[in-house]
Amino acid sequence: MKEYNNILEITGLEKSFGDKKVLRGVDLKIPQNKVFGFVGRNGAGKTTTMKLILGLLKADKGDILVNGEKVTCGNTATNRFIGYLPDVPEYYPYMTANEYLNFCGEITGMDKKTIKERSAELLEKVGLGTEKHRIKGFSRGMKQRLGIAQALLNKPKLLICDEPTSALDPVGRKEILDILVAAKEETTIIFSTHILSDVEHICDEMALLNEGKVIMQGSIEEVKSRRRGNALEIVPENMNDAALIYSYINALTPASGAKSHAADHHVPQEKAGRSPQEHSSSCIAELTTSGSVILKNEALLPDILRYLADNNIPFIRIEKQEATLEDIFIEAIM
Amino acid sequence: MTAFIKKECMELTRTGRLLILGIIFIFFGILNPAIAKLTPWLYELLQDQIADSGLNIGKVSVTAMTSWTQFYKNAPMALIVLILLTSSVLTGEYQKGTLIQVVTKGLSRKKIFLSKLLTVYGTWTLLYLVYTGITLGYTMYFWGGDEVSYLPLGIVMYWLFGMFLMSALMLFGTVCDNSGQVLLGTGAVFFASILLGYIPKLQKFLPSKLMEGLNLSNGTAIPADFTTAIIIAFLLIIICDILGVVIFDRRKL
Repeated sequence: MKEYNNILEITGLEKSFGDKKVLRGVDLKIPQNKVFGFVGRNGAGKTTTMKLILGLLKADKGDILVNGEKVTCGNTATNRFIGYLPDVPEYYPYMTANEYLNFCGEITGMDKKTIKERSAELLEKVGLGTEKHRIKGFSRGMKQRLGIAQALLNKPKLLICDEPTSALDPVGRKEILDILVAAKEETTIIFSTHILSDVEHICDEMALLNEGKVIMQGSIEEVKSRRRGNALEIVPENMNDAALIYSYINALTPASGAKSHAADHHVPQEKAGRSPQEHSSSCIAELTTSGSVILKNEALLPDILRYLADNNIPFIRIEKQEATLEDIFIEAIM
Repeated sequence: MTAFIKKECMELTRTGRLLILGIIFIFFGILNPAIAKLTPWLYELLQDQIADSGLNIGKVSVTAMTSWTQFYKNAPMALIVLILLTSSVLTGEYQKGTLIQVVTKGLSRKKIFLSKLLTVYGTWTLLYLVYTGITLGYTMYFWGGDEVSYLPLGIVMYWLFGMFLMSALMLFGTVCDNSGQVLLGTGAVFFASILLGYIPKLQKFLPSKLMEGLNLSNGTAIPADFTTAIIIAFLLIIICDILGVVIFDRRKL
């Protein structure tokens, strides 16, 4: 079977429900063997996109290729590459976990021996190996774990998980994330969520979906660095020194440097409604209430280090500030 | 497809649905000859009261026909119970979303629908066999010598009528979102067929005509009277099944 670099390629995907346009031209490429975070607010169109990939809904426009094959609505052959875990997986309550996997294996056309071996292996992996009760009495976390087992049963090339952790308690969430990380060895995982710490923990790449469009995509590092803005946090030992450092930076910037820095940040001065000097310094440094200074331009660091040394100002740390995904998420969608 | 049929059968047995249906069909099956057998005794018991009202009862003769009359009277009740308990066969899956995992596993919708259809047909056939078998057994035992004309044809016609209602039920299952709507739809078909039967000209075309197997046995009808209704019922079953497959292929799960 031919291997494609991108297990999933979506181009110009559009979908409306009545008057409501849910997807407005989604483009997405997902490479093999990655954990891909699909992030967006509730109602951003994540589930709709996933259902379109599975051929459960019909797209108004655009193409979806799974492993190089086009997805069609209804009985799409591309589903043989896909394992799917719905947000709230539902089962036949009168079956046991093992019987359910057996049923899934049979409808996928696996042979009896493989089903038996694979079921045992997966149930063990998701911690249901010794569970003999019927699904009727399963907790949400157990259902979610069984969901992953059924999705991985026929060794899919692409595992689609729709908010697998959203409804779970912290322990259940961790279990699911661990299982997904382990599953990465055998498959590519798309994982939709609005819990950004989960994305930071387990994803290699992510896409941010907002109002029916992908507004950001890349590796977690890339996404973060795009918004990092070179900020440094300077934490002096003595809180009063923070004010000193702050005024030193202000003194440094008004002349040539200030203007150019202001221009760097693309904020029109007229709009800001302040004098150029005020504006530029507030853009370049910030005094926090916890007694630290945020320096937003790395270029000034040598000057500041010199100043700290010359004036014998002790400090706890100078640290590059990482933007969290939360910051990026909120900034991007607001 | 066998895997899905196996699942349907497991559902029937483990949810207790087959047990309930089995008990009801067996109960009605026994009731038919029992009522026939008890009729003279009942009359005897009530003789005095009836005599007081000025009526005189002579000897009540009970034959195999009495038992088969009960058979045709009770069959609709059993059929209605079956319809009630089967109405959620498709809608139950939509409401819970259980078919989504099945479809995304690559089982074609056609196979899902046909598996369900076969199971529903199978259930009706099996239960009807039990119902008929029990009545037949007891009737033969009590009134073995009695000849009932065209009995097999009458029995098969009623089975066909049941198959028609089951097909309608499955078709409504592909269109409706909940079992209430399915019941309403199937009920409407049932009653429409009976109401239209009051128009003499239409009578012979309607599937409900197939319920009148008794007329064959008591001599008020001949087999030829039913030919049109049988053909139309067959056609309707095929139309329902084809429409069902087509609609189910497109519906949102």
